[in-house]
Amino acid sequence: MRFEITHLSDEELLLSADGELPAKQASAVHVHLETCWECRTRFAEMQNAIGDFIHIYRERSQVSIPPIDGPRALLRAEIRQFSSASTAHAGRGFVASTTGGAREWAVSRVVEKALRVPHVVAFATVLATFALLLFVVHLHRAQLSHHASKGSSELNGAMPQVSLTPGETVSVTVQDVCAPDFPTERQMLVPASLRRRVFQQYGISNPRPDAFEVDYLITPDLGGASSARNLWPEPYHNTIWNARVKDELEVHLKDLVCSGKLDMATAQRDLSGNWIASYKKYFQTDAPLGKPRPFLALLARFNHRELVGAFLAP
Amino acid sequence: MSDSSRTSIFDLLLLRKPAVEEISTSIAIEATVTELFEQFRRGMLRYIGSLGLSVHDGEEIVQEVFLLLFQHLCDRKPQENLRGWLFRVAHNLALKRRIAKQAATKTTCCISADEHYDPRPSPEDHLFFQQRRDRLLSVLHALPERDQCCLYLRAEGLQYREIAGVLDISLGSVSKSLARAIRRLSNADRW
Repeated sequence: MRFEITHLSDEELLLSADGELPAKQASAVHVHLETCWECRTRFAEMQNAIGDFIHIYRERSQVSIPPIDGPRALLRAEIRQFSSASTAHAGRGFVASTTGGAREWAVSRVVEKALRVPHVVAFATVLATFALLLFVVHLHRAQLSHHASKGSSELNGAMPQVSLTPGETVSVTVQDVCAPDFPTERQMLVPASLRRRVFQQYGISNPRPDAFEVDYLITPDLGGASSARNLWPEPYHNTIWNARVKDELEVHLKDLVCSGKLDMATAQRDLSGNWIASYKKYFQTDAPLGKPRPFLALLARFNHRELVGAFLAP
Repeated sequence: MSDSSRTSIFDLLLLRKPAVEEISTSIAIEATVTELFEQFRRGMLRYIGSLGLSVHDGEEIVQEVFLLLFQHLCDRKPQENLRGWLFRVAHNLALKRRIAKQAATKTTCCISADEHYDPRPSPEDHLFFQQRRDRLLSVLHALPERDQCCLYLRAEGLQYREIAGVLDISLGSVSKSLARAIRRLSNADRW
């Protein structure tokens, strides 16, 4: 008479240990383990390996994960902002939001709600007529306000709204930012989702790609955070106090910080406050120092809307 | 023209006011999302870190995941197995970001051997632990990425079905990956 022992596979042992086997199979594995030293040893080895792995894996969180308070508060604020923005915009029928899917989401909610309203067809025609009328009026008024604001467009958009972009920093030291391998603003690409969120906050839907640069208020070169509270959409059409001029100030401030002539907190405040006033203060000037390139500046000044406006103006 | 005046005209025209029940639902969803955030943030950060991203990137991804969760719940989409949903979205966003970062600088996946953390009782023990730890880490890094992801997700307590959902693979592949990974780790002490 000959006994053949069929041992359990590693997969069966693991499935059994993880409670992933059906009851009948699990009990068969259990019975086998009681009688087989070989499989029981392998089972123990696997359990040890799991223990070792978990030990290494847990080390990560013990050393590097910051407390939850800040991130939780940020999440709550973002949810409320997102929630209120969606509610306000949903009524208007067009939505910009933090994510691509949210637009369809909000539109579908409006449609869904509208379909539940009785006598919808009767009202729809009246509403559509009113909406069209209002849209025409709105367009006309927008055109007027655009023309009216042309004269004072020099500072338009050069400063962010303080309530939306007060400036935010991460905790870094002077040694960190002055180290040669510290990532610069050019390397810190703003993720598309964050850019969308910034545009949404500023109520800009479907921006033309050539219309705005999403710029850092406090540059990451001086510890500025990559967050919506530190970013704002800066129009490209600003030809005097634009991003290039702000870069000059940032480079100057970083030089001062790294040479120990200025502390980092002051540099950050100078950027998050009125950066144009800071520029004037540090460079002792009322106008940007860098020479504008006349032809390009002229070209940038006359963007196509203004050209069209000039032709249509009486 | 101010934005607020435009809003009020359109809202009046469409008779659109947020209903009381809508607001209370929103508050309830916010509470649920916050609770889940407290429960899973740490694990998700660990998992994203294991994919080779920094804690800073991890925090941003986790914020985005929970905003999407809020949206998901507001939309009354399926609510069973939210843990699997959270890790799936985090996994996809983390891979996207990693690809974007790799384009700029070559980074490699996973827990770095340089992240020293040693609760050492004595220099001899320290040396022994360190050598063993380095050996385990090198075995871990040599595993196919899918096997590593299965390990990390299992370490976060996900069941095989959830892991299959996160990585978009079959149940059989999950158990094969895990068994292979554990076998290699347990062989790390042999030579």
